[in-house]
Amino acid sequence: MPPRKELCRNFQRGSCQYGDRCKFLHVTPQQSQPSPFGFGTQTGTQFQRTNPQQQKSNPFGFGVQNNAQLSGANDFGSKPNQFKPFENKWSRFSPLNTSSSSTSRQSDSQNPAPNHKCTDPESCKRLMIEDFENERPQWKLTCYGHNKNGPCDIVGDISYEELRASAYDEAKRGLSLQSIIDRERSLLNSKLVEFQSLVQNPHVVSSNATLSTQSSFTGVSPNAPMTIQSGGPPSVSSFGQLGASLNTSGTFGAASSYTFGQSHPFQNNSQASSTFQRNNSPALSSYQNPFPTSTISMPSAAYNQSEVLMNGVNSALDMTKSIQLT
Amino acid sequence: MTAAPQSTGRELTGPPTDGISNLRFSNHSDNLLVSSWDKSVRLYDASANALRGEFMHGGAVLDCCFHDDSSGFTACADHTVRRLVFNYGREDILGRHDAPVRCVEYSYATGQVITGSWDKTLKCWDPRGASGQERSLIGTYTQPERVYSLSLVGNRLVVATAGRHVNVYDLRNMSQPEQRRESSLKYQTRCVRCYPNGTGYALSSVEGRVAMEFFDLSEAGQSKNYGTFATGGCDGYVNVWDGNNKKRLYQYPKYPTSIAALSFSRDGRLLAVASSYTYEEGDKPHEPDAIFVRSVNEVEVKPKPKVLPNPGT
Repeated sequence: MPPRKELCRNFQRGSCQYGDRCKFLHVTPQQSQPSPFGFGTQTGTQFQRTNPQQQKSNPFGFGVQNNAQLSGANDFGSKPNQFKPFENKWSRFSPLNTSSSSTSRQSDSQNPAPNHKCTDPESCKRLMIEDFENERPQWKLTCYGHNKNGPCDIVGDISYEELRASAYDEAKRGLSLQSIIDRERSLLNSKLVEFQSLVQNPHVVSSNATLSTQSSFTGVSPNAPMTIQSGGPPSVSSFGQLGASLNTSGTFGAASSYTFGQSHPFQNNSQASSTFQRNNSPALSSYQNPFPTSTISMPSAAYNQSEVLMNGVNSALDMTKSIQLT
Repeated sequence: MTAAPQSTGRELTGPPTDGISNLRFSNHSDNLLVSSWDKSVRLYDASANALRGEFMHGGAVLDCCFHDDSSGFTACADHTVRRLVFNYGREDILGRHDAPVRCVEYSYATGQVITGSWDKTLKCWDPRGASGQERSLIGTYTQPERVYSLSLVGNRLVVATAGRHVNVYDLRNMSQPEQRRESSLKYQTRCVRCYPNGTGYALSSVEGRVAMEFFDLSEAGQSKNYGTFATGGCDGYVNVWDGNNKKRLYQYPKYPTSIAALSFSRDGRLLAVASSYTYEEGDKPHEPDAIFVRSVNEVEVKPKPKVLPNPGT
């Protein structure tokens, strides 16, 4: 007798073309369903992972407690029409048509607006606040520039692959999983603090810090970067925080080249680029003292990514080669 | 697996045992080259669903590309750039960077291998010589930041780095970039790909957006220059977009986990999808890494007629 009560693999993966006619069992996992990534917390439901290990917050360093999760099981529990995919209700003004780029979104080019100019710290701040409330990406170790085509306000981003490579390398050297997690988490906290500080004291990083040269293509000249001091203490600058802790840390060797797979963590040069600090680094713990220990929690406003056009992070693009618009 | 292809496409047997960093179809056949964090590069015949070869490296392999149907190149986290000869199962080291090599491409226009690394440089190599860095290295080009992605079309090379920098080079004159730009997106760049028609490139970021850029501003206003393209996200969905209408054309059924890589076959009939957790949430348990090869129907990727603006606006 064929196993009729066996779980249907396709259904568990997200969809089964046979539907009710399927001879395998279509059942949703016991726990409440995570909704597809990026569909946010509109209803305020607390989403949980289907992985029984993570009943509460994710211990693996990325504190995504209140975020809509994604781990392979589709959202069969909630109403399918509760939110429409790819309907971006929040519209950021697209640049003027004379510029060389346009973001690929729905309802685009409906509301052209002049490009942002950094003449007024308050308008910069408003723009940043709006960005952080509406479009904070899930990946937190990112750089950020409030000015399109302009330099970053927050530098020192780390890519998924770098984080992963570092974790693999540390595991190979015998570090425990917990210490790897702790380091990732402290990296995350540092970056979150940078973002918080930026909004409180919008301080546009001068171009000297981030670029060796900046030339502009004719017709598209990015606004000359200006440094706007809003009177905050220098340590608040997005550039300074990682750099300060780096400078005081004695654990980085003199080698300026990138050493990977060796005993040194990521090496920083003059910029506060990706930094993996040693566990129990004295510089790190002293750096964190002035800040409240609750920095681990996410800003609650960050997860209103209810309708993002491209659902999540695009890590791969490919062009259709033979089917083209002629 | 002999069942009919499921909604996700046929799953390739013998996938890598750890995350997939990239996969590419050959320009000459349905051969698929797959690089992985398990330190291997595997060659599959995607139509036959058969593993044809496997090459082990000294560290995670972060990128791979074909040269012709019988050889390819790889970018490895152990700082090496390697050349693979499939039929003989041979591989040798073409050269090294000072940090993990993140991207590798082969330029048919110049016959050179181009690599980008987290050591903030781009290097060009001549693959015809004997192995060894002294012979094969043509040039080293410093970038403003660690290289995250690069793409070629014709004589143009686009490099995307950390810190949202983008450099555009003419391969015939690498002494300095043709253009230096910042990304028009506000967050970290993930991926850059040139349009096959050579007029520009698409750039994606961690915020989930894609920006369409042109090399030459005079082309920007024309509506017929966008093509259709596919994107894969950490939500497990593959979407196909119409660049002209700026709308989604199609969405494939959800894959088990993050889409790490996509590749269309040379004739656009097949789409290979790497469903492989990309670590965007740090270290956590995840679905097994898998490769799906699905047929592409014209209706899924053919752009719809251009939507004209309303007379009233």
